[in-house]
Amino acid sequence: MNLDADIAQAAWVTGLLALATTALLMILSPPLAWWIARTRSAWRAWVEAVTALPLVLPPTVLGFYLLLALAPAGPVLGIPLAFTFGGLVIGSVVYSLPFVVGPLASAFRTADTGLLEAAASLGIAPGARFLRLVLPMHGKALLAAAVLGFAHTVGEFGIVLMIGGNIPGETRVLSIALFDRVEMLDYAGAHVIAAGLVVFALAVLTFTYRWLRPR
Amino acid sequence: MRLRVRGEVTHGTFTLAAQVDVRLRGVTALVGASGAGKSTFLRLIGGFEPRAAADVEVAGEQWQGATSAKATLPAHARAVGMVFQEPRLFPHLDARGNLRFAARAGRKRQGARLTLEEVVRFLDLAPLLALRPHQLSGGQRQRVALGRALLTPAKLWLFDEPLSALDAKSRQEIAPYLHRLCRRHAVPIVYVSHSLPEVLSIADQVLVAADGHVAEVPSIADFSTSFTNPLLGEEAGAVVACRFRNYDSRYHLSELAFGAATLFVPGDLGDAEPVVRLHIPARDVSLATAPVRHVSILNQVAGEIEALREQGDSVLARVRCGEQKLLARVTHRSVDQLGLRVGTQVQALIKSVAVRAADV
Repeated sequence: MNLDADIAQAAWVTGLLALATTALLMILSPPLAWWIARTRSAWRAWVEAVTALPLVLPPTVLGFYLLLALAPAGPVLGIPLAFTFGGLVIGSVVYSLPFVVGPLASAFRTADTGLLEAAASLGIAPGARFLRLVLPMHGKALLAAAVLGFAHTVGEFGIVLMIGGNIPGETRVLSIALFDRVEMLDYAGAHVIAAGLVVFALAVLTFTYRWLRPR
Repeated sequence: MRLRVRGEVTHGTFTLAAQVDVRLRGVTALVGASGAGKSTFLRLIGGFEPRAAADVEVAGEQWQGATSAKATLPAHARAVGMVFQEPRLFPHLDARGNLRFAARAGRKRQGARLTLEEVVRFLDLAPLLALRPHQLSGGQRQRVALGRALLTPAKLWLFDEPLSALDAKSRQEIAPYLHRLCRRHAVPIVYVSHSLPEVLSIADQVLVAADGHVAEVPSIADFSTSFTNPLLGEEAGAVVACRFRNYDSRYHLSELAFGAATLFVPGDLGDAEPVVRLHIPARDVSLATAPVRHVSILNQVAGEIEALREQGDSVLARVRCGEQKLLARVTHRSVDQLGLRVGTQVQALIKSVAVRAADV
């Protein structure tokens, strides 16, 4: 396979992975962040800590345990997800979760309690208050969280290496492809990928800080 | 409809103790100085004090149980329409969106509600519908918030000082709507205020919050002239009930029967209910020891001083006029010169302009 096609394929897999991961994250994270931001439960600190683990653990640690969990004979329903795109999505969701939940929780923490009380007094139940009031009022924060989740997934490496392997068209993402190039001493190819990722990251972060800063 | 509230709400060092069993009809004013626990009491009824050790029962339905969390209904399930001190409009929706939000919600609650058209017409909201909250003035915002509360099914309307956050101009703009609402609608209202004149002209009964206690007062007239009334400040004044007699169109004065005496009040009050409630500020009542002739003041009522109380630089006198009572604020000097004491026969001179009708 020619080298450019390989990079294009890795970019395609990366984009698909980031999209799928972001989609899942944007379903999971808002309720979780809302719970973390508003609950008085004693479990909050523990749940928050678990969510934040990927911030401090080496990705390889998470990757290792996910590999065991997703292995063909693993405890998760026995479905063999290791070294598949599906397994990669699960790993990415875990790994990027704090980058989406964290900013959302801080945005939700400052949500106007007075408005929520007003909504309650109008007969709107908690679930509907969240869906019809909290979410629409935090459009920017949601978009910012999604963009960060997407960008962070594009940039992951260690966890992919552990549970995804390096299967072209299935689990070979850009960061892995870059590693390959460097190992093969193909610095020209490595530059294409590395510089591309730098430009992408810079563009995304600039966009976020310019347009999506809360208030 | 009966409202029973019994129990305590604790916020840090502040504890509100409520001991209320009252038949709600029309407008129930809840008055008290700031920090006395009025808002907390309202929030308890509205469902925003779920951890309070209190029983709340509305129209025979238990909304909150002091001992059992199961008996406590969440706020959204309680059939109340609530107006807060601040408008609390949803900023991402225009006025129409805010109203529709309320009109569509609360379907599972029982209670009376107005239709969107009724609310828009009643509060003159049509010109505001397309505007966002930040494009509205303070008074307009509060008007939309009031409309929003009327759209939700409610057995009870709770108004938490709806005018207190507004400037004088906005207040004048929205007060007539509130007063019309209070007089014309069937849903009982609990109206919180720290201003006696604001509520006494519209209240059918009064609850008082003082030092963390909320309790009912038996008679508004007695309460307004009582020296233990915690709100007896600059705005002290008597609330009296008068019967409309007729309207003198030549002088634009209404003639009201005040016991055996007659009061003249500007404007035609003939459209209102036969009994007109007036708030007569103590500072607008002067005392004389004999009938005064050749004076521009129209209203002169004979009475007897029932009690005197020093209040700073002046003296408050409670004057009994037949069945009714007035308050007059006079100087120490007048008390000495006229020899005013309990039992003195006096003429109370009321500036007609100071007589405030319920329906302005």
